[in-house]
Amino acid sequence: MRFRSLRTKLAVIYAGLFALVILAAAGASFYTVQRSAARLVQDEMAATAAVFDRIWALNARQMGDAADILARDFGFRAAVATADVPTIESALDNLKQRFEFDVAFVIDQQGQAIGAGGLVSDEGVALIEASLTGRDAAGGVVLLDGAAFHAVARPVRAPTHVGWVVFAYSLSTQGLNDLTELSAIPLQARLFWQSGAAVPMPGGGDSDDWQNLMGREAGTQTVGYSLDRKHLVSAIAVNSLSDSVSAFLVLQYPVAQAMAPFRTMMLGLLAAGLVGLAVILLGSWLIARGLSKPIQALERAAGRLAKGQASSLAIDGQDEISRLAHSFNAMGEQIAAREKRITHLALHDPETGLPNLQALEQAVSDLAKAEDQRPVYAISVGIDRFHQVRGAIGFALSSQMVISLARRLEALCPNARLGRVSTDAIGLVLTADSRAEIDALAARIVESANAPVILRQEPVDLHATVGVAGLDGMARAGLTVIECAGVAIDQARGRQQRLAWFDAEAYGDPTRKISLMSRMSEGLNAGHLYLSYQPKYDFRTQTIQSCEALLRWEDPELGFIGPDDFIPMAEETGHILPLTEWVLDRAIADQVRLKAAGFDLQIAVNVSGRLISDARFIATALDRLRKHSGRICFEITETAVIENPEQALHHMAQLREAGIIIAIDDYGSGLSSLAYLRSIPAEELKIDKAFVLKLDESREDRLLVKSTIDLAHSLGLKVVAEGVETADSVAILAGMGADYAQGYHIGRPMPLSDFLTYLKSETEVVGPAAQVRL
Amino acid sequence: MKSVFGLLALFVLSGPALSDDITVRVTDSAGEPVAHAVVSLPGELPAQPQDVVYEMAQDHLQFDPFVLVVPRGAEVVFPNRDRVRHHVYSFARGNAFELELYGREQERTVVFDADGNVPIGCNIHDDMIAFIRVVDTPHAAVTNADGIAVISATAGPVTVWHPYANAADNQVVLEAPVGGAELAVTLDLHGQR
Repeated sequence: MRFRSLRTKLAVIYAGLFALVILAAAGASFYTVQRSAARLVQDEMAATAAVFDRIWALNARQMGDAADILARDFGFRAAVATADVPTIESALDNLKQRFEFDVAFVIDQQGQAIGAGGLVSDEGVALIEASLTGRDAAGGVVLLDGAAFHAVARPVRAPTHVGWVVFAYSLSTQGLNDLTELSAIPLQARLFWQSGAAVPMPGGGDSDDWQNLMGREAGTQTVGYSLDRKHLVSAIAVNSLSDSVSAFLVLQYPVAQAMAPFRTMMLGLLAAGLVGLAVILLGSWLIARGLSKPIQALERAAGRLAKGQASSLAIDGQDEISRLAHSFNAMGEQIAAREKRITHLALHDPETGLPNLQALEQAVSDLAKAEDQRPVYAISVGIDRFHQVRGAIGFALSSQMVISLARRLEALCPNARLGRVSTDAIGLVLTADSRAEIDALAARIVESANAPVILRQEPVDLHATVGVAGLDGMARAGLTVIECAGVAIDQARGRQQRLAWFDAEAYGDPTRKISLMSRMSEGLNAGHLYLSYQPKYDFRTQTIQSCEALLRWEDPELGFIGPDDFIPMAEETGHILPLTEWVLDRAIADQVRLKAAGFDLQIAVNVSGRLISDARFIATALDRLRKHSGRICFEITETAVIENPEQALHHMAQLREAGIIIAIDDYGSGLSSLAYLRSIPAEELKIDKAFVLKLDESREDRLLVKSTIDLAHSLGLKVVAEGVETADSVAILAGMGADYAQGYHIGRPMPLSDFLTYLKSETEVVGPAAQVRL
Repeated sequence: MKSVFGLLALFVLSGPALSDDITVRVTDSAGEPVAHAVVSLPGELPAQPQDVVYEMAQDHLQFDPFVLVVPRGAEVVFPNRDRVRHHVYSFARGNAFELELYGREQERTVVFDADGNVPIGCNIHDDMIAFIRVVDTPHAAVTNADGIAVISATAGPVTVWHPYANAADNQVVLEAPVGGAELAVTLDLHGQR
């Protein structure tokens, strides 16, 4: 069984258990009383039956004695012997009156009843005489003309047998009831022949219900229940006068009547049980209610607590439930305190105690939902070079610096919501009627934020850049207005300004970058990306001995996409690795095809500086190149060794061991560090085209190129000049001792088929020695 | 007293001696000899009663003999040989008498003038019972312990009576055998009541 309430459960269980106990007790009492009552009644019945039997015997003896006395009286004997009827009759009358017999008569030798006074028929007399023949004395039940009698007979001898004296009393209703009146209990007496034949006795009924008690000898008695168990029965076997047929005196006592005196007791028991049950039901309900009430209160309070409402319980008492309520209250307070702290932490910067980005975002959404509908703006004030400043003055003081800045800003615009939006930036969120208002405020902020702060009594320079964004411009960029303001700071710094509005155009669409990368991956498979080869002219042999593979992307929808538009993005997103692997595979395959066409060229591949530090790339590259016999050159910028020089140099050594030629690309445009130049195990140096393009015009360029060539040669490197677009440049470079030239003048980057055609045409024109015509 | 025995002896001894005697042997249904049966044949009584004294004594609270047969008009003495007194009576029709309490050595005499059976009892002692059979013939005798009676007559029907015989009037009547032969009679008896 499932209960929806504890109260019902307790009440039902308690009441059920108690009710069981009460019922068991009442049942046991009832049974015991019933049993003892039955035994009591049965004992009484037996006693009564014994008394009854005794009275029966007494009656028989009394009659017998009376008959004996009469039969032995000399005068009476004389009267019988001489058939003196009047004397006999008078003597019988006398005794009848004295002993209250119903019937008294003498049966003479001739079988005639004398003194019967017509009470007994001739048949009756004959029956009696027949039953007496050959006997001394007799006593028992006899049926005379349909009525039962208890009779005794005594012989009259004078001195030989001359007749019988017979005394009898009627076993009519009255006769039997006279007997039963002596009993303490109201008995009903009936007489039955042993044969079970119906005897027209008072009370009627049949003998079936006591048949089980029959079959004993005369004088014995049996007490028991009738078969239908409605009566207590005592069956006393009595002799008939003839002695041939036994009769039973059956005393009956209705059980219901016997149990009547005990019924009051039973009813009392039942009433006590019912009252007890009612008291227990009520008591259980009250106890359960008292127990469950505080629990229900607790349940309600817990529900309120779960909803985040303040919830406290009134406590009265010292019991477990009260203690539980106390604990509950304590828990509720602790939860509230903790929640407050968590909320504070969630919305505040632990370092400075200022509201954080989340708090400010919340403020933005609150303002945006505000009723006045004024435009919302975010102003972000970024401390310039904060990490360097923090490195210099320490975390504690830099935090102080941020706090000081926040105080200033707070003072400047008390209506704005303020928070630390990143380590080095404080954001302000506010509404304004116009951009001009914001512009004015931003200008004041720039002024205020660029004044030194006093930290530990020492003035420290503070430089900050301010970014501003309005809620209107952010949707396109997919950024929050605060983030837009942050980007605006970067944009301002990029433009060397102190203040800038967020420029969505300049920021571009970051989601576009992601889609471009996935488009590039698709393009690789679809063949939209391909390699173009630009020849390198060998001054010494005046032939084309090598070329540079350049990646080209011809998108069917977007058109030509330059490497500068997607290579940096691929580097940032990690797509550079599969891209470079693809390029390498392509180049190797093309090299095989070129060789098959009769041109054994070295192919140079551009490898991002990031990949040189990437062990995975090095492993796959080495794996690929070891299987390949062609000459491959990796063009690497100096920046490859800046981030992780040890790892990069180690990898380069490995590449070199594998027979890969390393060329330093774009030399002169970046750091052009001599230290790197020394450490990188390169074989070639490619002079950036910026120096070569105007070689014929600029004297400085000529000097730089000449000295670089000399420097490279002195370090054992060969020099490649890029951006060779004029014949003059070729001549100058040849004069300077450059080893290779690359540029439009030599040949534009060409797809492989075109490149093959180019190679063939050059060969045809210049001759079998692959002399290039310049 | 002696004369009674003398008569009996005469009755008994005369059987084998005289050719016109009849011997009757009485047995019960089990074949046992029946004593105290009275066997009689018809005959004429003498005009004058014989001067014979019959005795029905009371001895050890019993009558002696149990059965006495006497001719009509005979006188029977009732001597009391007990220490106690007796009250002898009979309600027999025609022969009723009552000898009220009398003591030892007190003799009473009764004359029996009617034929028939006379049951005799004592009012004081219920167990004392005896029978006197008054007959109108001189030919009568009581069977001895062997159930044998010898009658000095041969003619007429033979009547055998016993107080406890299961028969009408407690007697059976038979034809006398021819030529003095012995007559065997079987009586069905019941116990005393």
